[in-house]
This record gives sequence, C-alpha cells and structure tokens, in this order.
Amino acid sequence: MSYLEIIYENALKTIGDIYIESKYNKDVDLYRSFDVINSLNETQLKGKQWLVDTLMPFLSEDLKDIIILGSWYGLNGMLLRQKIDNDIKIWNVDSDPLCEKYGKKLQGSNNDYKHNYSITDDALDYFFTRSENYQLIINTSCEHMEPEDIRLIVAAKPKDTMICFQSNNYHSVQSHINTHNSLDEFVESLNLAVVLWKGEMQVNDECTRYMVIGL
Amino acid sequence: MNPDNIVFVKHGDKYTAEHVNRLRDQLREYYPKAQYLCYTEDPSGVEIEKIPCFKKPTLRFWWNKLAMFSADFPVEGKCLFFDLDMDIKEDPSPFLKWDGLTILKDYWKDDLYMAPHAYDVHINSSVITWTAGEQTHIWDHFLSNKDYFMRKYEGIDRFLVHEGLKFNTFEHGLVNSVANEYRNAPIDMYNGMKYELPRNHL
Repeated sequence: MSYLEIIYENALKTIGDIYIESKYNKDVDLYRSFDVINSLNETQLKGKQWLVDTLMPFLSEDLKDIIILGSWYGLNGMLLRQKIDNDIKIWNVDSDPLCEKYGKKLQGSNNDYKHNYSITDDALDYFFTRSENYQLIINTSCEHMEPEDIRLIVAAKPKDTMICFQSNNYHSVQSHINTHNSLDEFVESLNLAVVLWKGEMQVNDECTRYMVIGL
Repeated sequence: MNPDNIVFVKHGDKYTAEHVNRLRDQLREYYPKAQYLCYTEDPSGVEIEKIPCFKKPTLRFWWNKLAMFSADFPVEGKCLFFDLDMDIKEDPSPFLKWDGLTILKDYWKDDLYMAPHAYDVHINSSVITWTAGEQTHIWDHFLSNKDYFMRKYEGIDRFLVHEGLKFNTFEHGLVNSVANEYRNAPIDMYNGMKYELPRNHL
C-alpha cells in the first residue's frame, strides 16, 4: 500500500472506532469522525501536498526540527515525512487536546513517523518558549489565527529560521478570522525580511489558497 | 423585575446601527432606567453606549454574543439581551426572569425530527437574561477549544446545549416567530430572515 492508502486505512479505522464506541458511550463525540474526514479531504490533501512539493528545494541540510502550528490531525507532517529524512523531528502543536489522540491514530504504528510528535498546547505559547529550536515553521491555518500573533511569530523567530505559511480568501467560513483578499496582501501582512517564494492555488470558486516561504 | 442593562451585539453588515437605535427606542418605553449597550466592531451611527469588540479573540458573526458572558464584559447586575431582528410591540416584562442563564424555547421546532448528530436544538438565544459575572464559565469553556466548537456547531444555541451548559427557558408567549403561524406575543422575531426596518422609521 502507498503511504496515502495507509493514512486513509488508519482514518477509516479511526472513524469506525468512534462509531462503535458511540453505540455504548453517550459522551462519544460523533462530529469528531466528520472532522477527521474533513482533515483528509481532497482540498486539504492538495493544499498540503502543494506545500511539501514547493518547500522541498528550499530545505537546508541543517534542518533538524520543524514545528507545525495548528496541524489539525498531522496530515502535513505525514506528507512532509515522505520527502525528508526520518531523523528530522516534526512537532505538531494544537490546542485541541484530541488532535494529539487522533493524530497518533492516523500515523498508526508506521515507524516512518517515529519522529512526528503531537503536542497539546497553545501553539503560540509553545513556540515562544522554545522559538530557538526550529529551523522551519509551518502554519497552514493562518486564517484561523490572530494577525497580531502571526506577526509576533515572525518577529520572534531567529532570523535564519524559515517560515512556510498558508492562508486564503475564504471569508465566509465563520471561524476564519484572518483572511486576505490577495496573495500580496497576505505576504505584506507578515512583514518578512526575505520572501523566497510566494504563490496561490485556486481551491474552488469561493477560495484561493495563498502560500509564502520566507525568512 | 427590570433589567439593569439591555445589551445588543452588532457585528458584520447584516444589521445596522438603525436596528440598534430602533430597539432602544422601543424598549425605552418599558425600561427607561436601564443602561443600553451595544457590543460592536463598528460603532458608527450607534446612539447608545458602545462596547468595542475584544481585541482578542477575534470572532465573527453570532459567536460574538458569547463575549457577553466574559468576566471582562463591562457590565454589572441584571442583563437582558436581544438579537437585532426583533420587533418589540408590548412590554415583555411578565415573561422575563433572572434565574441563571435564561433563553427562549423555540416552540416552532417542537415537532421537528432532530438526529442527535445534527446537533439541532429546541432553544433560541434571540432573547437572553443573565446576571453579569455569573455565566463566565460559558465564555471560558468556549475559549478552551473555540475553533473546534465553531466547526462543530452552526451557532451558539447548539454550543450551549450540546456542551452541557446549564440554562433555563422563558415561559411560552414571549415571542412570535413571524416565519411560523401567528401567535400573540409582545415580541415579533424574524429568526434567520432578513429583517428590514419599516420605511417610516428610516
């Protein structure tokens, strides 16, 4: 099976387990199964694969630790792992405590992911207390985060630490509090010292995804 | 029992300052001593005391209503909230009570089938009463996982019910839902419908 087939197999088992448990436990959150499905849908996969494929030429040989802020269930880290050395550590940080549980289930027992770690914490608090540790910061959910916080991340990181951030113009989603009207508007909002790459991907009629890689 | 504060929340462009001012005019007849407040990111045209939306977290649409329960929301005493798509026709006081968090029971959904995983509810937060400072756990719980809650629930009513937050409901008869069969009530509510102000008011 391909790595993607294994991820989907693990996802189906996870969803099945949630349903089975829900038959006997009234506290089981059935929406979580739908959330897991959404985290792996075609749009998510395309956006994150786009990130991995675009990012690869920019990665240095000194890369040891990557932090992914707001990883959801860790798909980005699993895709990235297919292209980078198994010894590089990927730290997925999410405030939702169940991202850790279900992220681990999606990774399964695959040894490739032994250095993909799931952390439950406020992404900013976690980053700010160890901002020197990472050579690459990934954030594919800037639209969910306060603009001020994102600027603080850029300002607080070591100057050589690379960032790869995504946002979008999907204004109608109620939890999207930090959307942008154009790629340039998004890039400008970050106040990067160096923009290494920027681009956009049409997701659907309502949404264009923006991505920037920089220092 | 009368409210100390009458609170409105205006966010986005669905409703205007005119909706706020008109409700103030209607309610002032019954509650002349109450403090009238509007929590908004756009105070232009609002003629009552403005409370600026919190700098953090940034919220959109109806989710801003939950900020009313924050310990940082600057009110004291008994609070009465109205959505902006309400038309006050008579004194609602006989139906109002301050007993924990109190919200509407939406009689028009009584016969509706609701699958558990639809998270639909039989309540409606278009009218709310509470005492300031006594419902801060609602805001705190929301903040504990807000992105997930905003994905899972289409609005704050569903959040309140399915997160197990305690509430009471008003006696039937406080509102008439104009989208349903007419009922005599002090308040007409345009729940979910575009509510245009009467021309003679503008």
